[in-house]
Amino acid sequence: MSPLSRERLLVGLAPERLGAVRLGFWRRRQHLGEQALALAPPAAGAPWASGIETLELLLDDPAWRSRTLSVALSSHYVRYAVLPRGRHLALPEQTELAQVVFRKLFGELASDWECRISPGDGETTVASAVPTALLDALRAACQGRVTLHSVQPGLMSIFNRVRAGIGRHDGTLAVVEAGRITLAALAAGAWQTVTSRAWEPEALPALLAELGELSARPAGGRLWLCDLSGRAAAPAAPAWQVERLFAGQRAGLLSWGLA
Amino acid sequence: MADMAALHLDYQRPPPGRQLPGIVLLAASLALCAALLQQSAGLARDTEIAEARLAEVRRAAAAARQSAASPAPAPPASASAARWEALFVALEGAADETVTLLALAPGERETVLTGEARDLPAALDYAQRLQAAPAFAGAHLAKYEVVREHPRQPVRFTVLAGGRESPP
Repeated sequence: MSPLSRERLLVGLAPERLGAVRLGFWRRRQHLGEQALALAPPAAGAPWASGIETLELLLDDPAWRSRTLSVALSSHYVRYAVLPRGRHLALPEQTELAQVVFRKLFGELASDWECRISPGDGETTVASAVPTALLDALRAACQGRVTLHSVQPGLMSIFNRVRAGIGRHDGTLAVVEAGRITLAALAAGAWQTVTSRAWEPEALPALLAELGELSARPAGGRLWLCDLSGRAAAPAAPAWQVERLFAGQRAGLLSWGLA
Repeated sequence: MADMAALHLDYQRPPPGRQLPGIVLLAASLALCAALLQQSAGLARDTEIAEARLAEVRRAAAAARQSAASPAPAPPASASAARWEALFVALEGAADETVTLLALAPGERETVLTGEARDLPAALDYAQRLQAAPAFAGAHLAKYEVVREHPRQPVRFTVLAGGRESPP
């Protein structure tokens, strides 16, 4: 491949599926291909082992060879926390603080997670934690094959793609995938909570109701729904005004908003 | 009303604000490299000019020594050698770091010296110092010009000397 090539591969990595979109940039953005690869659950080892193996095969396929790779990670692999933004703390100190919060929430499990905290400008901000072993496996898979340009939680890629439409409205962003629902509550332009549960897509209305009760908030409001599973049940109107994200945009769904 | 800030939780790229110092450092390094290259080109040019001048001086000195060593028709060899010796002693006495002798052309009646001085006062001082030596009695600055194409703009000059102790 020419060193001047600007072809990019965008991948959404989840336990049951690897979605891939290949883009070219010759004068304008070109859509060169997309595919959804079903992954078998690994018999043993890390839960992401099948995904990494499939990614390696994809990167070795001449038809999918690209200059750079960006990966969006399923919420199965990411933990989230909303923290007050430390105005007088530098980013490394804030990251350290996030590490402490994750250890408190998840105990010894969090000792092998790599944390990031978003440098936002609101009252609160979002922190994420990803297993170091997964990041190492991704970097090793790219070695000699492609430049790993970005690895980001799926919530980040989706939110950044749709945040202009969200504006500073109050509401809930729902990312629904097979076997997991992630809900982010937003109010007055600030992050309130991010909750991720191992629930099936059909249980979205029940989870919304439960979280409403727990937070003593009236059920309803705006719901920005990103249904990656194709099976999400929408909560009942008129309490909820549902806006489906990436409706009819297969590439956007396969790459978790990266494309 | 502005939108909410974008999330930046990337595990491969630093946050946007943290890329800035790197970009500034890169720009500063490139500027420094350009300045050093320019300086190095200037130094190379100076070296070439200095080497050319040195070669001229060496040629002039060799020519002077050769004509001194060649058999003179008129005076006896020992007297000629003594005069040349006096000439060189006078030249060495008058020399300093502000002046470079480029050529020495002894004639029957007068001796012509060509040299380069840091500036005009240095050239005049040189002529005056030569005047004090008996071998260069009557030395005077006959011609000078500023070498404008050289960055330091030295003065190229010609001194004429003649009279009692003219060279052989």
